[in-house]
Amino acid sequence: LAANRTYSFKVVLLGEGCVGKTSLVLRYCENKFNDKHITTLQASFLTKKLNITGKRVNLAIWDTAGQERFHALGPIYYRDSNGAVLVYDVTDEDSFQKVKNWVKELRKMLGNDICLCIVGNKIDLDKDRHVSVEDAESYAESVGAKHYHTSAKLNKGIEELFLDLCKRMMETAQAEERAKGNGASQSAATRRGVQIVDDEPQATPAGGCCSSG
Amino acid sequence: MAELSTLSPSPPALGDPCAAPPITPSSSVLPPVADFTPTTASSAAPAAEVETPQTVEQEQKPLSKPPPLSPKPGLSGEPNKPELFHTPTRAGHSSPTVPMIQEPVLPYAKPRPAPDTLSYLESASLMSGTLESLSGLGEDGSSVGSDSEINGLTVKRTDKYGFLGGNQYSDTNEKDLRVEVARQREMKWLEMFAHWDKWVKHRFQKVKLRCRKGVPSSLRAKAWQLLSNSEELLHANPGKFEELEREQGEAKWLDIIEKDLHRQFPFHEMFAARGGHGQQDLYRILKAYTVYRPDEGYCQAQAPVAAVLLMHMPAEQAFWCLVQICEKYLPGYYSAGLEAIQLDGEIFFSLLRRTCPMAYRHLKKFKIDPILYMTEWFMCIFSRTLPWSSVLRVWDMFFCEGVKIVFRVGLVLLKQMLGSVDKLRELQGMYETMERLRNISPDTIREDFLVQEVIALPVTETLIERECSVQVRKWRESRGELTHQPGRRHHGTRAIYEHKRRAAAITSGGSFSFLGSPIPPPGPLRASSSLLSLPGFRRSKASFLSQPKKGSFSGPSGFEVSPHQAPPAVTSARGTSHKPPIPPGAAQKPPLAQVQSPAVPAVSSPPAEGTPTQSTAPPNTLSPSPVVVSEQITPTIPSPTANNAPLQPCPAPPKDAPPPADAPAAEEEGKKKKKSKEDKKKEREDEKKKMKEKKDKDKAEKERLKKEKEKQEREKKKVVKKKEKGGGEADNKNGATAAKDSA
Repeated sequence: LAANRTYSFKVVLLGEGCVGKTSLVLRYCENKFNDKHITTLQASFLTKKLNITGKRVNLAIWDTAGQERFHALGPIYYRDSNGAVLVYDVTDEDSFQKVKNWVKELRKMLGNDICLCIVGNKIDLDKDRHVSVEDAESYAESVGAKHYHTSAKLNKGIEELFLDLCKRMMETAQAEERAKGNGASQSAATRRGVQIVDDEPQATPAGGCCSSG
Repeated sequence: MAELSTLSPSPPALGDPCAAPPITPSSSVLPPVADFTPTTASSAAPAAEVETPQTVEQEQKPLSKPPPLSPKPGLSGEPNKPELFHTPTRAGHSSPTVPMIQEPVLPYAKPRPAPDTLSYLESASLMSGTLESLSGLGEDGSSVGSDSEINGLTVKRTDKYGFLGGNQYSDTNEKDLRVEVARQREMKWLEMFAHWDKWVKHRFQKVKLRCRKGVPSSLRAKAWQLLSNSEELLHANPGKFEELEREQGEAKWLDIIEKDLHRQFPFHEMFAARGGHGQQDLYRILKAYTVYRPDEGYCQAQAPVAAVLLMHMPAEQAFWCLVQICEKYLPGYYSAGLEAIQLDGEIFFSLLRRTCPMAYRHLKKFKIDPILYMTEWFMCIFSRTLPWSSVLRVWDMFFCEGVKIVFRVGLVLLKQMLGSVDKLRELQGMYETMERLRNISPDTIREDFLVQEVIALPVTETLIERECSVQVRKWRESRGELTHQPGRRHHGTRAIYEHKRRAAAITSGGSFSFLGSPIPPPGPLRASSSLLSLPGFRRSKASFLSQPKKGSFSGPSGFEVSPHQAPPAVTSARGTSHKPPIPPGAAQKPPLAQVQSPAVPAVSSPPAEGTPTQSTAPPNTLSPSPVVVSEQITPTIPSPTANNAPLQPCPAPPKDAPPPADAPAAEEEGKKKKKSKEDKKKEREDEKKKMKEKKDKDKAEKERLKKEKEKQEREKKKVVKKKEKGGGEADNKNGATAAKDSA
């Protein structure tokens, strides 16, 4: 495979209201943390460009509304996603249960092609933790997801989370590509909007893989 | 200059009849305003804005703009951010606007000290007098993305709407009406208040026109309540709100509500401080709503709407207003399943095809589902999208004309953003396009321009309803039955009024006619999709058309007749057949509400006298509670009643000076009584009963619907899933083409 590839991935953030989805994405893409933001009603996205082992990756991270009521709109948001970050609040047991619902739904709707991350956010409030680390990690493993602990406030664990996720998505994409190369349908890749585009000489902002943007 | 002296006192003063406590914080800003008004006033004066009755004055406005005394850092709240990444809402925090209104006395006049939230918060919390916020937020001095460095410790500089910063901060000193014009308008509105029913019934065009011009800010609270008919609800349900408040409420809703309190207009002085009075009131009304409509519960999108209302009126009034919005104007928007908003998305998209094919094609090309850009617009009635002055103008029109205004504003926005080849050239992709739509430059939506465009757009209720039935059909074909019935939407004041009258007719004359009438009910009872299929509506629409253009009292034409004759026949059937037993309490309500009786057809002259006094009374009873912590605010709370005094000096026809006029009111009352006290009373009581019955009916219906909904939801899910699988097909194609496009 040529090194000059640009991967475009769509990642969707899901999770109960007020667990910190918006804060995570804001921290990751703009390195900001701000207590004064508004409830997310309209799903929106931020983008991030990465360079991972010489390969360019364009990430579009979709932030969604958390309230259960907005799940009705979920399919519009997560369709064509390559990855999903399922966020819960470590101080809120309930939000962890909601993650499980999302896992079920995504597996059902998108199958195993989607890379799942389960993220316990707000570890700065670890003293109020209500979700045990072991439970969370073993659950994640049981559903083929990776588990992370993050704090958007302290900027902990976030780079790692997205970097890992990108690598996994690249692997998936490459696997699909190989399958495609074997003459099979290209549907698997295109269906989920993976675009592997020959690289135009575009100046990628030197956002090396780990530059905390 | 002479005006100047009158100016600063007058707005708060005029506001009184209805200005509500929450408003006061911003009116406390008035003094600073006075600082710069001189220029505005004097420079605008030559322009001599004369109120032209028919047209919305836009021409004059530019004239009054020039003198922005204050240094405007970035002309608009548009943040200067790394172009690629940011979402507007968030970007708001980083808006460079330094909320600095020229204030000579400032101790710390240095432009921007430290770009962190902290300094801002300090002043914010000082504002509202709650200190929690400091402890709560202080720790994160790390915040990078916030703007609004307000440095003065003592002085809080909000814009005239109470914003301390953020992307809805108005840094320009937008058109300030000349005092006489403003006052003239206020007089006109007061006159309308005094005879509200008459105006709605006979001269609705005029009411509409005036709403389009913008309701005087001092009278906005009252106007919104009358336009939405929430005031009547308020009076018909004395003590209800408190009762709802006393209920415990469901924990699952309360949790979510609590989490949302600090995330509504965090840059507005009312809501900036954690645990501040604004957030407390927000909690009260959102909670009350979940108790009021346990089947509906709470939807996150209700919070901003409620917050906007709270910026204008006390909690109880805001609550009833919210009820009207949720039930009459935008039914289903906040209900589980969010079908209504999705359906409106489809309707919207289809209307776009007519109004701006270019934008339509573009969105279609990139497979941008309406939900991806219009959800927040519609659900929050643009309160998070537009510059604040525009928000208010849109809401003025919305209350009067209903959801079509929401559609129109959305269409205008799309037209602005995607309506020309030039604009589309840079938007070659889904993401670019969406980002543009999330990032609407305030300059493209200045209030006058926006209003002008909105008015000009030929999107009528009829069109919307027609489109609605088309989309409902499509929905049913593709996704199965709707659980929310679109037909019950009320298109604004007039429709609400008509509905009310029909409801009234049910109880008064209904019993006879129901046998003969094969006509479906006006309410949500019908599964039939469109309003058009309801004769009652057709009739009312006809009267819309035939309405006399000018406001002249064209007595017998149009409305005079139709409401009387037609509706009874229409609705009576239902009234009797579905009438729940008359609640015993219904008859007792009048004492309070009686004075007002908007629904009484012919005799509407004096009653409004009573209303201002009444409507202002509740705030007083509400406000003294310890809820209000701020010293800033407390003193002004009683203002609604106190305010009126200043009005007197101006040449008001005696009956127009409403609230203070206890005596005149009494007089009028006496006259009225002579006329037909008995009849009216009876009618009113009937009205009340009917209202109540209707409500009960609705409630029952809702519950039934809910059950159905749940069932259908389950079914739907199955269908959707199937579709998702099959529909993946279509998506694949989309994905494929998109890939091709970009390849």
